[in-house]
Amino acid sequence: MKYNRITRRHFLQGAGAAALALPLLPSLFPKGARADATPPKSFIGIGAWNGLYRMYGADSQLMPRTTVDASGTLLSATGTAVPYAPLMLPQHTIYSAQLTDIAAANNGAISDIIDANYTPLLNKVLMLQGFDYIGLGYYHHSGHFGNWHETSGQTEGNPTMASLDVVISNYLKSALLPSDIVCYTASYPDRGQTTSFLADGTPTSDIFYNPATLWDSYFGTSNIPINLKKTLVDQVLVDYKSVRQSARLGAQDRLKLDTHIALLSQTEANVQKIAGMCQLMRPDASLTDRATILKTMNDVIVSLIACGLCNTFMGWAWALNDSDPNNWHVWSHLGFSNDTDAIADQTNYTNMVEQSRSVMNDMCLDLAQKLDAVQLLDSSLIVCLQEHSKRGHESWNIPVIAFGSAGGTFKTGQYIDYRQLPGRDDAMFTRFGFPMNQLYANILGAMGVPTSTFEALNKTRADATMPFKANSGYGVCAIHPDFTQGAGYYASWTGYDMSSWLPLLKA
Amino acid sequence: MLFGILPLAACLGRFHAGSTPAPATTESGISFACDPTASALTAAPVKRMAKVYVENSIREFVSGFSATSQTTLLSVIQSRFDLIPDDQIPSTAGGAYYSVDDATLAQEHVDNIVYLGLSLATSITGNPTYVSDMLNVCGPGLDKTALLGDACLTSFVQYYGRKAFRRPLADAETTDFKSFFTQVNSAGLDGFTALIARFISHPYFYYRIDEDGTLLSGTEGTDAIYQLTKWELLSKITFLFWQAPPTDALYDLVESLDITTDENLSTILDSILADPKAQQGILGFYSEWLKLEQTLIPGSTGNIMAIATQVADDGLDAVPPTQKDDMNQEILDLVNHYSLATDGRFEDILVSPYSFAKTPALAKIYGVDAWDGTAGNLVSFPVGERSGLLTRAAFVASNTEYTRPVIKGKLIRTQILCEDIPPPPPGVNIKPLVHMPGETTREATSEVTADTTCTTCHQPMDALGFATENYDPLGRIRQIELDFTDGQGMPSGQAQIDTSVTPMLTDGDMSSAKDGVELSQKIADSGLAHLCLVRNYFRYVNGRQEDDSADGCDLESMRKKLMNAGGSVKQMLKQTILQSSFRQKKVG
Repeated sequence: MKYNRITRRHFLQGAGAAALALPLLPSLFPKGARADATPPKSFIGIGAWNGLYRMYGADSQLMPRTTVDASGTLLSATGTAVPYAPLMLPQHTIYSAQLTDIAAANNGAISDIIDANYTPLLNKVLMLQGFDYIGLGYYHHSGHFGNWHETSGQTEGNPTMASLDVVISNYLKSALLPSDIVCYTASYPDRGQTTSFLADGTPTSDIFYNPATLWDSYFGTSNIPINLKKTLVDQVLVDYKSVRQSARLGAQDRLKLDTHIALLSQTEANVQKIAGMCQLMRPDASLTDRATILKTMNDVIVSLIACGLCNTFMGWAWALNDSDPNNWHVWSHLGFSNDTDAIADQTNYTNMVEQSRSVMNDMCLDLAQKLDAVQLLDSSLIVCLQEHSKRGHESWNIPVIAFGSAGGTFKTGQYIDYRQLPGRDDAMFTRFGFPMNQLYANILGAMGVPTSTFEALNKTRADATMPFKANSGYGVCAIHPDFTQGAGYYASWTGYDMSSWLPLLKA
Repeated sequence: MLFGILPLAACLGRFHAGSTPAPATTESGISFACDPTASALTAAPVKRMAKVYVENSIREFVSGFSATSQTTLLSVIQSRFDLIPDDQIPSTAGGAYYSVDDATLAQEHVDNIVYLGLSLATSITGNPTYVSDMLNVCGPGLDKTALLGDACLTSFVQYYGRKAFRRPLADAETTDFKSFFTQVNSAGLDGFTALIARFISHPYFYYRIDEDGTLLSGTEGTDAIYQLTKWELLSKITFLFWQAPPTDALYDLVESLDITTDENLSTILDSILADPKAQQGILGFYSEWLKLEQTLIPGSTGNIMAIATQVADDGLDAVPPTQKDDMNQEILDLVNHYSLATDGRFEDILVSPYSFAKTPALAKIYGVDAWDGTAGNLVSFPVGERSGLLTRAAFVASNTEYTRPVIKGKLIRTQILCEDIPPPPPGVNIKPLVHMPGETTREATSEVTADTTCTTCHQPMDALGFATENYDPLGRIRQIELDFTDGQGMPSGQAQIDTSVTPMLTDGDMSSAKDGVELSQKIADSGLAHLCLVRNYFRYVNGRQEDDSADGCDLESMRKKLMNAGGSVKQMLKQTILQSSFRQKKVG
């Protein structure tokens, strides 16, 4: 039915003629744009649409492949003991180890996915095990970063809340800092299930899936002489003001044109600002390989941070190693069996693992390396969050892998296991740990958002149990009625302050 | 009969009543109340262009280029175009109902319409082929120096000015643009680039201001009513039907033809509606009215293994990745056949016995051969299995291993019958749907909504979805429902389907329907969906909710053209334009 659409296919077909075969980083990186003093903090959330594969435990392919023997010694996959420090808490004892120690005891790799390529950055990595989406029960879709109100088109009765990127952005805006949010993913279909939501529960709208488009958004007219742009915008302002003077327009008409004129004045101001800041090369707009798209997107993200244009990002991607992005879901359910706790179909299972490897390598590690290359990783915080844990729809025991310390706030280089180890195991219904709300609060705190600011946004639900300190942490401050597995576990956490710093996490 | 008498008024907002009166029932059936003394034109403030209008306006702007140049040029500026925010369908009542009426204006709109103009301009002026294409208005094979001659510059400004402003430029405007070109050149910049960019960035390009008509009544600047000029009327019609501006041929025609007369307007309307581009506007309307974007993708979630089992039963390896698009395309082909390709009636759409499935996979769902797209080769459904819009895959398929009767019923109740259903009360504990062994989805749904807090709204909504429970999650006809409650890929049991419902189409109507086919006929016979179509098309055309009092005569005239003897969907589409309110504008 489409008539005269300027289709994306047209764009891709024609892009080769547009002088796009330009080199990427490091030539893409703006010369002289790197921050010199203390750079502002940047947050990059990456939501992994992963699923059923062995993400922790003795057969782990993601988190440290470890076991704890009867004496409490942490053993690597090779059977080598790893220094493993316990910390007794009122809730239960948690454990931590140095990532370099784990790697050293495991032939230089943390796990199958977190392999030797990560070694140079291990001191800037955090691997955290055991966060529970207490407000989700068995529901999980899109809930990575705080959107717990809706899953796959059906409500779970949770109130709407903004995801972390939006909270951070709003804070930056109030602090008169660059407050744009850039959401990005690997292709048009991936846009369908975002991890970034506004406070009213609607997805944030500006989602980029072509790095050249993102580049254009900030740098796209950098090749046009500044005087020409200024001349044009000045003239257009005159045109709008002239039309506004028409005696035939009514009050509402003028109001609309006034709004446009005000925004156009901002356009005029931005023309000067952007033009002199960065002269970057536009990335190839015709990329089709989804992993390459994301790695190129990382190039542009680094440039945006370095140029001081944007500090808040949210990325996600479905299947990266397949032509059908939605196949991650098929792999999740067919590859691994919930009930037998075993690989059910090796092909699908392998696809799932490779998908996870691609997310970690192409989205997380690649970005961390590029930020580190320009001394911007330390001021950043990349949080790679899983959608759920090993069992399908099991919303607890979530692994979290982070890069950067958010300007020295977090103590990196650690593996911290927040779970209550006795009583359960890694096989069937797995162990519980700490509420995700607390990690959210710590991330927001690390990014500078005052506790009073994010706590003021919190909501609860009348029908849920709430053992924690009222309104603490960030998110739905209540245990979902369907989270029956965890309700008993958390029953004794009376008055626990989810806004406090997680043990061992803060530097 | 499954349900007892329900407190419908407690839940349903019939006919989007709000504060407006319900339609009158006359001897000829259901209708709108037309009181000429109450008729009043509603103010229509200036509107920015919808993104799709901008898109097609840019293409029309360069329509004089060679086909190859157009394709390449537009692909180069695609990424800049993408930065203009997509128009959204407002979710709040009282606002616009269709994305083309999205009135939001953000920095991204303002920035990127300017930058789109700049990108287009620099792309053209940086390429000698494009320059030559663009200066064909002055003669073949020219380069940009041709604009230094007054004659060429005048021709250029007048030709592209008409495209940008959708009317001929006034002499003063031509002079102004020519002066701008000269001034920019004098400043050492590229006047050609600036000229093109200014056309695209100009308020007369991005806004539909319509300020040149004859004053009919009222006071200028406050409540004046104007008769649209022929140029304003022309572009209003093409944006409505084509989502695009007029073509050069139409401009040339209207130069010498007064389309503000009924006869000439009717003639040009036939021409515009016969153009294949009319599908973009009309099918775009249907697509949003019927919420086709929300069509569930079979097999996209839930128990994948169970879905795979059902797909394998159909002899397929997998649900094609294009299945959602294919199902939606079938709906669009159905409505196109009766609305544009033929002079069909709306009840034909509601009870059509023909499949419009073009792909083998979708045709297989229906158990028929794929349709070849030819109006004379329609493919009939197996007798008694399906009828019209509501029994097609797009309306009955589910994304999981089970059907979604609530979603199905809500779509019919709200979109086809125009009845409001309020959201669940705040704080209500919404229970997840749990299938127990041996029970149908209908039974599971009824159990989970049995609470009195839920049932008032759910019963009238769910009944409409239960009527099509004889179609499985892929959309195939079935008599039994497979039981996957053990979570495995193979069914562990089955249950007998029950599709008998009391659809309660009007207050006090307790007649029953045995299935979706009978339900479709009842809806077609009731005229309620016809009224809903009229309401929705009115909203699409006017960008606002109807006022049953002030707009009653317009609504009724549209209804008559749709429902009376000799009427049709196309007659209703034309009537919308022919009535005086479309041809006038009240200042807001």
